[in-house]
Amino acid sequence: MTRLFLYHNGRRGEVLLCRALYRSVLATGVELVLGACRDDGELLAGLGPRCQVVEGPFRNTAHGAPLDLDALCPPGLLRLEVGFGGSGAEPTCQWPDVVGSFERDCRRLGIELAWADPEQAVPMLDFAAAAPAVSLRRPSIYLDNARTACAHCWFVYDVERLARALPDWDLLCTAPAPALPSVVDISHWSWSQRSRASEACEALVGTTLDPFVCTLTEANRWKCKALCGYDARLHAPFWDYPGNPMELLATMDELVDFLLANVAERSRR
Amino acid sequence: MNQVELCRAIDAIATCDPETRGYGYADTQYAWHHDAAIEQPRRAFHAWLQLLHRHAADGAVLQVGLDRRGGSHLALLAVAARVVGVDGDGARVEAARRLLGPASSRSVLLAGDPCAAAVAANVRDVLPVCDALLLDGDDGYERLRSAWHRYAGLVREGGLVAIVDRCQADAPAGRPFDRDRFVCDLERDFLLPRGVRFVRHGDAQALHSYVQTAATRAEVRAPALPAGFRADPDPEPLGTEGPFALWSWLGRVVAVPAAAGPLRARVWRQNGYDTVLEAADEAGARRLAGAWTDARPPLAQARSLLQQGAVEAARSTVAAVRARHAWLAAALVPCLEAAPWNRQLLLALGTLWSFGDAPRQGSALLRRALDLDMLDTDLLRTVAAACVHLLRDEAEARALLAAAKQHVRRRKVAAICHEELHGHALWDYPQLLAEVRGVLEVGAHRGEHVAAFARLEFAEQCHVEADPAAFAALERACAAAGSGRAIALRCAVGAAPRLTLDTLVAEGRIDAQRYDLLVVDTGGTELDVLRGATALLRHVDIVCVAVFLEPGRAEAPLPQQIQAFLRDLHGGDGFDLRAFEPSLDGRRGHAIFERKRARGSR
Repeated sequence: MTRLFLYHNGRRGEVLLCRALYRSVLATGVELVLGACRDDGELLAGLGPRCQVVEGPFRNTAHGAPLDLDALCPPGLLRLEVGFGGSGAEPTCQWPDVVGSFERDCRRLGIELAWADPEQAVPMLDFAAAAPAVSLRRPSIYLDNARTACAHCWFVYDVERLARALPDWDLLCTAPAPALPSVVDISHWSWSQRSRASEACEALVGTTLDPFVCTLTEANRWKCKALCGYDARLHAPFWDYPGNPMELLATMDELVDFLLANVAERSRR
Repeated sequence: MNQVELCRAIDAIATCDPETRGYGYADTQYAWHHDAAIEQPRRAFHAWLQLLHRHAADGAVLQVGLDRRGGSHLALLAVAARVVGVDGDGARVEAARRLLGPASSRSVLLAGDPCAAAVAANVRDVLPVCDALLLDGDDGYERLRSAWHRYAGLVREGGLVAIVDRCQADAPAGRPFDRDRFVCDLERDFLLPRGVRFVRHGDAQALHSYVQTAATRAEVRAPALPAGFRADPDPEPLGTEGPFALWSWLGRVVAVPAAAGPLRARVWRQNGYDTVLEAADEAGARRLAGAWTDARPPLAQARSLLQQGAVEAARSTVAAVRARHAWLAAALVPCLEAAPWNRQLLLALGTLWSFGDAPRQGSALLRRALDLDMLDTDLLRTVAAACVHLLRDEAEARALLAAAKQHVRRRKVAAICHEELHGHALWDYPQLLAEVRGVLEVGAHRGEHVAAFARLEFAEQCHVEADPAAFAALERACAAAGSGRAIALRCAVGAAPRLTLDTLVAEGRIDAQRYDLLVVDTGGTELDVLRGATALLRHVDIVCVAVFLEPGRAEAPLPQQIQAFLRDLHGGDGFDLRAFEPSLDGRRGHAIFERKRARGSR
């Protein structure tokens, strides 16, 4: 049986995005050893008995792994650094491209993978299935206001304005926000807890792939969601799929309109 | 000055003297080596300077907050008649003075806290009214608010007020109330009620500007502090421990070299400290600083011994350190997580682990330290020795030496392109030329580029030219090339049924294997030449094509046609556009394409 050592040296969100690929590779009958930063094992847990995770000594950072995870490869294993597809300066982060570039890399190593269903729907990243469900006190909106080291991360949320516009909803904020009765600070929650919390929310609002990627679960596939700070004429949403409800929004005005139309109005109906 | 000329002039400032002025822009830096000549993002700064040129060309600009060496000040002088700079950091003011040379009436530099009343009064004496205000610096919410309040009223009606905001690019050290929040509050509470909006240039590093109106100038009133506002915490000094100064900041204790002055988040983020240690409390930080001071020299000695092949002596040196400070390696892990590109931390932890129970990870850390400066030959030898003696991996050592050789080549090509070559778009992209072995130039004219290609030590040159008058000069240029093999072919090539490049390959007149760079400049028939070279293009990695933008050139292909042809070539595996450089008059330009490659990794 083929045994592979796979890893991604990127930030936590990027590591989580690899999960869908790892699951599909395992379905081809390959055994995997996965390299990860310390504490990133939770993102790769539950992939089955033919998958082992080796954690390194360093925690992941805002700029990715401090140590090339290649150094964690057990002796004698074929190793591959996973990419996110495309041939441009930036990876495309689209499922077909991720599979395509992985297949090319495997072919270079002389490995032909028998994908179970090459036409399968774009998979989601249920990594927190084992974590307990989160119950929320009121109808809520998930607001990923955490800053990241990504160039696209520039949007400033006017949380007070959102709270005024949506008085009947709680705002679950992933970074400290103004102390308002409807603001729930979940910045200290683990990614598993955040993922489960997002499944209990009525709308999802994010800024960049990392960390918004932790809301990419099957329960959230068709949920109303938006990425802020993007110009829809210039960018495609990451991890796109047929029927993806993701909206790209550029301004606070657009965000307020979006939430009023998709959450507040709908609940009144 | 048109837009292209302005951008070229600013680029020239950013790249003219790397040794003394730094190099490039804020967004063209490696995360581990922040040494920008102009500490603004390139495209955003260019766009804002064009705005400045429209609103305040040959006017007076007030710059509050200088960058490390004064590069932005110099760039503003390219547009404005007079620039007054003020900064509270005396070292920055001195650096700018050194850069600018003798004082002149065009450039005035003032040292002092811009938020202090006396300094503001001094600024107003020097510049009672200005055409533009640029608020730069690392100040957080309340100091930016204060500076805006003091100086925004100096800008005349129709002038520009701009705020530089890079706080979101500084994600790890994000302050709860920062510049981005002030920009948001200022627009909502002050500008929008007066019918004015910010224009944003850039993403995480951005310049926000608005045009001053009678209403915004009449009553400069800072927005109220937001609910729950907390002032930025300043680092608190805790004294020294050996060569380190200890600071309490954001719930931890940080030790940096005492000689480096007060702890600054931005310097830390830009990897500007020789060493940064951190611990949960003061006692832990003092203990760590003491152990570090004791361990650093023997660990350096161990690396030196390893380099010389004295493996056992190196091993016992490291063992002695571990015996004295068994906890040191574990204590350095969080330090490196907080400063992942700190060279001294990488070296120390890499050495401890290389001779301990994690030699592969230790070696990877030493390799990471080497990546910061591949020209460090001592460290290169050390890492190679670690591969051979500790990992028993000669293949890895050979790969390392090959990578170092490639790096040296890249540096050399970059230096030649920047310092010696001018007048062709290719010279602006040395990173694309470093691995070129041979160039095939179609439309070589009189061989104007032959000497440059020879200077870049391309092993093979083939130049194709149809014009008999120019061909004689081309032959002479090839004969005088001096380095590598240079040949000239006299013929006109295009698309079938005319003579094509693929025909020349098939006839054996061109050996396609020898050329990985194709340059085409044939006065409007470039697309025909490319259509006749689909087989040859399989061997090529870089294509540089002349394009014509003037409306009268109906026979010339549109740039988009060339781009589409090269993109869709070979079943979609053709070429991506990497760069487009227009000429100064905007009538023509060069498009540079690179072969699509699968991305295996980030």
